[in-house]
Amino acid sequence: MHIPAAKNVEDVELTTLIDADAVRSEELAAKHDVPFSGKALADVVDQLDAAVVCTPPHLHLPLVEDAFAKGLHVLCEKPLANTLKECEAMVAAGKQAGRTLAMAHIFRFYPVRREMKRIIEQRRFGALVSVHIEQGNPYSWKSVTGYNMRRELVPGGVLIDAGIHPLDTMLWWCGDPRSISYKDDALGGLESNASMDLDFAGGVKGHLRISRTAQLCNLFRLTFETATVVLTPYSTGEYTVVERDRKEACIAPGGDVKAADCAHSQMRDFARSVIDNREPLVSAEEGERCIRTIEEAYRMRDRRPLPSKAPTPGLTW
Amino acid sequence: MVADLKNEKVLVTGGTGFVGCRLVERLFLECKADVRVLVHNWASASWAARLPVDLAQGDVTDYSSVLAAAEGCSVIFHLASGPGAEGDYRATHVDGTRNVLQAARELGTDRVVHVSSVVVHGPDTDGTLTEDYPFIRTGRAYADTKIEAEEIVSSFLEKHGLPVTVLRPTFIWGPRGGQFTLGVIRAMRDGTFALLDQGRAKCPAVYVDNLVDAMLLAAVKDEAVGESFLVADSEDRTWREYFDEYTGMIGMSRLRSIPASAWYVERAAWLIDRLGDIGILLGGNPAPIWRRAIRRAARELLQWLGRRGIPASWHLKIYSRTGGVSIAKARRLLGYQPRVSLSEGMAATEAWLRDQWPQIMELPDAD
Repeated sequence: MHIPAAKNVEDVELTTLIDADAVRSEELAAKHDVPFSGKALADVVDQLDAAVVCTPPHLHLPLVEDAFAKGLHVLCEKPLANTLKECEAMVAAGKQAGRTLAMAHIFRFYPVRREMKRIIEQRRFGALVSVHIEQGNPYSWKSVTGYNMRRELVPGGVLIDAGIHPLDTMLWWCGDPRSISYKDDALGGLESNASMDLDFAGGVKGHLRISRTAQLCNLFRLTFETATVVLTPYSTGEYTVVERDRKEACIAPGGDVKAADCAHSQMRDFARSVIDNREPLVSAEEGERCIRTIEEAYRMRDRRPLPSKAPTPGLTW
Repeated sequence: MVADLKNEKVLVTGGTGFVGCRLVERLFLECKADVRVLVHNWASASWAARLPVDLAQGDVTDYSSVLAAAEGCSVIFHLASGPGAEGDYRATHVDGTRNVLQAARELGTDRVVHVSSVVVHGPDTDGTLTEDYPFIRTGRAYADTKIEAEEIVSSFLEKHGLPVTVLRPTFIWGPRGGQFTLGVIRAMRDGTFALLDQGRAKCPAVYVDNLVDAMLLAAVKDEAVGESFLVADSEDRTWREYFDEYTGMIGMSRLRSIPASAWYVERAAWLIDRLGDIGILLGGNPAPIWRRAIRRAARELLQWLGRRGIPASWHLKIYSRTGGVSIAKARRLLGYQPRVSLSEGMAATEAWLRDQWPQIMELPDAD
């Protein structure tokens, strides 16, 4: 996703690929016509102004600190880090170095989600009452290291992995939660099913159901005073407005785009934020906010005793 | 607790699969065992990752990874099954079993529980099936390689005295189940499901927790060493009774039935087998237009037959077999008691389906 974006955005020149597997980085560099490759930042730093960090999250802090120490700006993949403490260290390091730390929360660049933000802010259908999100598919993402299944490398399962996408969207739309309640199906390890209820300012209620084993209905439902708006997690532009007996299919402004185009928008925003010396659209503080909420949820999980009998799979408790 | 395995270090191959992850859950939560799971595909590890067990990257076809994973384990549950990287069963079933047994021998493992399948006896045994019934090679890769794996087990028993027990489960159902659970519901929804002979034949299926009970017993009972056991539920039920549970879940009022012995059903089943062969023989890409055209025609004909509820000949025989499966030996030597009834197992299965596959539980148009 990031390679085509970096190659296609006018303000960016993709010069270098870095991977712990040198053979893989060389192959990828040859395939995408990238002039340099290496195993570590120190090998190639002369060619760089900025770095995109898309390693597993336990490596983000050292890599981002290293990049800042070398004077680079950073676009960092979600989750920003495994812990709030690490997030804070990264944000502080960026400020100290005077460099940009932007978050790669790709769905922020989906026109339909930006349109929802406008609808909420403009109170187009009255005040927002609730946001209900269900997102889940049996997991099939190929991984060489399996980092997101290994509790020695990550603090949680589906919530901090796939769940951080809809959670970030919900927090963006609704603000910081006043309180949360949380349950999942972890049995001392990493959850594969999770359910979170959030209370926001103005009495807005949020519900997030996320899974990496279940085939859920995959929808976002925003209930307003006078209408309900429904979209899928994957739509870039389409949404449906249901008002009384009327149901209208709509396209968000600029919504006739593919997911890859949204990745280009993200890269373009990162580049312009560096060039224009402005805040990126998704700041590291917003990545930090997601981790704060997730850590609170995981504290609730960790207080729960283990059952003495194996429960029905999938059911949260 | 079914078996005392407290603090025992155990290795589970296939521990990310349907049965394997239930075994891992119960080993950890109920037996308090120290569990290691051999993981060859991280994408399938979501269930096992819910537990604080040791997930060891490896593959049964890679001896060094099996040896490393088995190090320090007193018990190995060998469940790994399915087509390997090359798409064939031989690598997993035959080479994988040999690797597991060789590692157990080299490390002096106290007990190996090898999970085979009732399919080693073929699809259409006469009368009540017992463990003494011969192996029947049918040309089906899955079944024939399961037989080869059992032959390897026998050779390790005879030549090296390896303490291994073989379990031959029947048709496994329950939460997370594929072919005999989710697959049934899907076929009913898609309109591709039909009973054979009104579902009067015996349904010797086994609920996943009953099978796990048998596996845990096989790991600790001295009488189990060197023996093979068929494992099924105890209730004398028909396929109709079994499938009716699913129709009840999704609110389907009736199931159509086709006569298993009708000449056209047998011919159609034969044709389905041949169409499947065509798919394998002419598979692979890139392919010339003529090959793609034949494949497409075969696929469309298969779908047409499927919509009429006609199964392949293997399933035709399974679903019309009148004899049951004896679990007398498992009761006698293992102390196996299938404690979960059909209604209890179905209640848990329905809870899982409603939570994990909510849309599939609603019929598009009730019949």
